[in-house]
Amino acid sequence: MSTLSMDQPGQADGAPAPPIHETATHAHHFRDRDHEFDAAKMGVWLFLATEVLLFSGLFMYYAAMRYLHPEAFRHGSSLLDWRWGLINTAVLLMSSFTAAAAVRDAQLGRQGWLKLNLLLTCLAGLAFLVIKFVFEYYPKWLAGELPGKYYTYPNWEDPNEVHWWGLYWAATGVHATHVLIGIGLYAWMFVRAFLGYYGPKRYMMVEGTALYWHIVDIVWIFLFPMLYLIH
Amino acid sequence: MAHHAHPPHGHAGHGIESPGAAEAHSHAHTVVPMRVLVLVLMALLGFTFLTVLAASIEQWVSATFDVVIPQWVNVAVALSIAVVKSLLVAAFFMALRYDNPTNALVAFFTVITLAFFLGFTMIDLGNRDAVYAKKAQYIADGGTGYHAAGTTQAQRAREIASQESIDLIARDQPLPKHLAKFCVLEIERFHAQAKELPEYLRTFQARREHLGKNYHDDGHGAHGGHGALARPDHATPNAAVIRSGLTLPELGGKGHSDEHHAPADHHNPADHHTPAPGGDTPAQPAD
Amino acid sequence: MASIPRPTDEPHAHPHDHDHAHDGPYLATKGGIVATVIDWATTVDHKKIGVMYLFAVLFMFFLGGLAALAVRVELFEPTRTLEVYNAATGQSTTSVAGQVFAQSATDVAAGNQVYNRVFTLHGLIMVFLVIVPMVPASLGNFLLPLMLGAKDVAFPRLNLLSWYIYVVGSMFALVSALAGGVDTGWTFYTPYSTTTEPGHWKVVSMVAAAFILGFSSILTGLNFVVTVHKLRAPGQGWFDMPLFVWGMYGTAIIQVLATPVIGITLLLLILERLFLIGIFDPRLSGDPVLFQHFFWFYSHPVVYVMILPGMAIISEVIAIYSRKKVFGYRAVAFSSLAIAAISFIVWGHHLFTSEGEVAATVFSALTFLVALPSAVKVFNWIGTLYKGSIELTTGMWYALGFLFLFSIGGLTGLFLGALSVDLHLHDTYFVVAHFHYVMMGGTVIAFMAGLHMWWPKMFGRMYNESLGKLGFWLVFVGFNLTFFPQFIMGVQGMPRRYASYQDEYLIYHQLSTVGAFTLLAGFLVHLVNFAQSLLYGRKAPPNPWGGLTLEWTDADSPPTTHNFAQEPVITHGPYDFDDVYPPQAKPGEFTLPPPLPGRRVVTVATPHARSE
Ligand code: HEM
Ligand SMILES: [Cu+2]
Repeated sequence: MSTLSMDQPGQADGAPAPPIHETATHAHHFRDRDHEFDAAKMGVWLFLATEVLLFSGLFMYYAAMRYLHPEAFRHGSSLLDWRWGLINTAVLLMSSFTAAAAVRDAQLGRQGWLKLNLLLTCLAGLAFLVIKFVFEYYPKWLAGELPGKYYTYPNWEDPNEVHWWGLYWAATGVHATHVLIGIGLYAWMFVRAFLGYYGPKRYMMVEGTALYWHIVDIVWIFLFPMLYLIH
Repeated sequence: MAHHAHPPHGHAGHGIESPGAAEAHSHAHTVVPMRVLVLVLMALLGFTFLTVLAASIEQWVSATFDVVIPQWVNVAVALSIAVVKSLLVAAFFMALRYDNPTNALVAFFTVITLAFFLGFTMIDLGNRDAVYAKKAQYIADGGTGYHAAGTTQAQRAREIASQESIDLIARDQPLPKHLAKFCVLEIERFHAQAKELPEYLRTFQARREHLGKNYHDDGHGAHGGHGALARPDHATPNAAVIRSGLTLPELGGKGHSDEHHAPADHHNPADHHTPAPGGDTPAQPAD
Repeated sequence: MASIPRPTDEPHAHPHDHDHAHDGPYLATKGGIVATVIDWATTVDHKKIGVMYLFAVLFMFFLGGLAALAVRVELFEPTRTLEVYNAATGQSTTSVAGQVFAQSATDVAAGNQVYNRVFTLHGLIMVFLVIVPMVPASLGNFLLPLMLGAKDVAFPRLNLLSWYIYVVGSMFALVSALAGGVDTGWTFYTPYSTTTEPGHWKVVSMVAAAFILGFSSILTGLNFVVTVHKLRAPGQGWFDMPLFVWGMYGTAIIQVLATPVIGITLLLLILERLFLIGIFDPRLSGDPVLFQHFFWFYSHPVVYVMILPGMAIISEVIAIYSRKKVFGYRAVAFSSLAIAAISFIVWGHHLFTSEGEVAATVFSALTFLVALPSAVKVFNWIGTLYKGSIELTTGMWYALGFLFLFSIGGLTGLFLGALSVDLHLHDTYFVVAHFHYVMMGGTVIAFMAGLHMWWPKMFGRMYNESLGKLGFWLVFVGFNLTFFPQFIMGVQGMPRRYASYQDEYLIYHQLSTVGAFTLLAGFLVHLVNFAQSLLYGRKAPPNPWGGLTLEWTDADSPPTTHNFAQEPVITHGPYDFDDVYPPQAKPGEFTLPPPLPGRRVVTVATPHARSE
């Protein structure tokens, strides 16, 4: 992402004296770091716009198929366990909180807290995926509740129930991919935090990634009721 | 964006901590207070429980009192809570509330765009009934003009795989009387006018008629008057009929054959049971 | 500091405190061939990226053009199955005539399949690889920062990434084409795209190509929006921006907001094809029309990604060659935004024959809205021309050609937007002619106008004006010859995407094919012209046409690596010709007025005496 342009790599790896974030410079076509920060942040927001519109296709998929096959969706949704959805929602909300807190720590230069919050966010993301895979994807895989031609679930109640599973896997799959990318970014930042990369003068990547993480969270905020609660 | 004309502590009124002095003048560097973050997290978790609660209450009510709660209630409650939650995230976690307004504008237009996409498409889906009423089964089958008779998707998929029996659906209904009469009159009027056509157009007309006599389509134009089976093509989704390749034996030599022009993979019963549209009846335009 | 060679005595060309290590012309080679190649491959300079895009797009234009010519050759004669009667043996044999794609002497179908693939390839290349990136990624990349007085776009590395994504996307498309191509049509309509050649990777690869190219387009758009917002020169307010920038801004907004939808659409299409998830497949009670909604939600806005940059170019070209303040600057600027906004709510006009009547009616009504801002632009350009001191260079000829052709394209768009008329015209050659008048007659012609005007700026060499005009006339005549007959046969009912036709259409198809080769001749003339300009062209002065936007007034031809010797300060509007040039001055015959009190000197290099 564009946020990377804030960070000039290739500086001393080891002992950060002075810490890298203190020596931050700005790219030559910006007036100063502030200017660059402003631009980068707007870039991130535009990127988020594209993310939202990417997911809009999945919401459209949901709306259209639900409209065309309401019964199938009713049955399909009742096959999900809302408790896992609830737990995952809570996990993701809390990770959003730690992500926001990490930005704050970087802004205030609290290195210890920063590392902790980055780590917590990363772990919460992992927890989300683990819960998803272990308690949802895997049992559904075993039961044959798979999309399209792999659908072998015998106890269907509506002939079009497979549409539900197509949507379920597509929507949660694209979302989980985003979570995975987020986890990677947080792990990366966790490492870089140890190298002293982030501080009050240099935290665009922390903030940009947090914004991305929040959008992933918002998408889930909608997916949760849509998939688990609307009957 | 050349000037950030804001006083260093312009946001003090919102209870915002002062960020690092070097960046005090920028919108983008607001430090959101911990108190706000914690409160928002609490609110988010609260709303999450609320939405689950609402859904369960609805189910419980309808099961216990045997009332039917219309589905839109369920949808409206769940989605409104989701909207509130995401507004909270956007405003505080993503700090849009304190940020450069341009970014909020980006978010705003994104949502508008999304609303256009969903809204207009649903306008279409929601109003196809107007068409269904007329074309009923034809559309319900996805507009392909045949049913796959299986009940489950798996059965249908299997059936599709062996694309042997295709059940065409009648969709031609006789026109209402007044319309039929109107059509006849129009056609007559057209013919009356045609007599006054200028010379070059009349030759054109004659040529068209001449061609009409001898041209016969390659199986996917309607043969005039084949009624129910006169469908624009008989492609099956797995084996598309070649949609081009007019054949005109007359121009190429002698003889007039009905067989060679039909692509192998298409079976049009009409082809074999009706005389070739040579002779007196000019082929009529498709539909 | 290595002082920049500036040809005229400009007040601020003196050494100053900025220190740029190597600020020569951006085209200067860095050492040997390998070093130069590496330099270009890793450059983050917007100018170099723009030039790389320019040549890539021109190459793809050539490939797509070959496919188009093949289509036209096939259509020179209708395909016929001949039955030849042999009197000697008394037997008749069948054979195929009039088919250049014939696979065997008797099999019409096989040849027609090839035809389907070729026109699909033509459409895919021209839309996704040529017209969408044609102006923004090449001229836009090059000019946007220059016009804003910036050293680069906001995210130079993202810009380079966009270029590489474009390359990768093209590879996917070409590999699919080499493997035999697809016959889905450029629109990938289901069920063609989900069911042709089941299991074959070609279609997936082609769809993936469009998917990937979308990201390249998004990155360009994202970069431009931020650049316009954040990197304007000091003193350059929103309404001091050249109209080219306004057009690019509108384009970029559409790219950012619409392109993600095609991303998810194509992703779902791939899932449908691989897993049969059923969303678009009627056999699985999915909804094929839903695909059309998905597709056109992106693809209608994207036709404005194609035309807005064209309009942006025309605003500049007409202003400069009329040497007159643009008529209704704000109207033209805002109409760009209006077009961008409206483009999101009219996509249903592509579905008139497939969607429900209610939606069709709504979309038909909304479609007419687009005509308003488009017409505002056209009228304002004409207002600009009025009483201007018009100079008929190649660029100006192209701009005038644009006015003519785009008007035809836009007006026929209104025919098609009328629901009842479209039911007759849909999927006929009328539609084909319509979109070629707007895409080729609009965007490509505007691109040629811009390319000629900015060629000296980009490469520091003048081109040959006579050859340019010859090329223009060939292109203009060839274009109309190719596509005007298509309106006529479309109205008469000639359907699109067929390899054959009835004899009534023969004359139109033959005219059209002749026109296509005239077009080819025209573009070859331009090719020769540009090649000879690069090799032997006269050195271009910084401001050969007397323009007032920053790339003319403050940058060298070609610009230096860092664009400007110092950060430009805006002291006059982009079209204040009357303030800068004395009235009735002949280019080359006047000296600049003394600086106005309190204003910085406007550095207009003496326009070159173009008669030499
Ligand atoms: C005044 C503005 C315009 C109006 C009202 C308009 C209207 C329409 C309508 C109604 C159709 C659908 C015809 C059909 O398939 O039956 C159409 C097709 C098309 N238009 Fe336009 N149009 C306008 C401008 C443009 C511009 C500026 C472009 C591109 C630069 C463009 C590109 C296309 C393309 C590519 C198609 C056909 C796509 C296909 O089916 O393959 N149009 N237009
Ligand atoms: Cu359109």
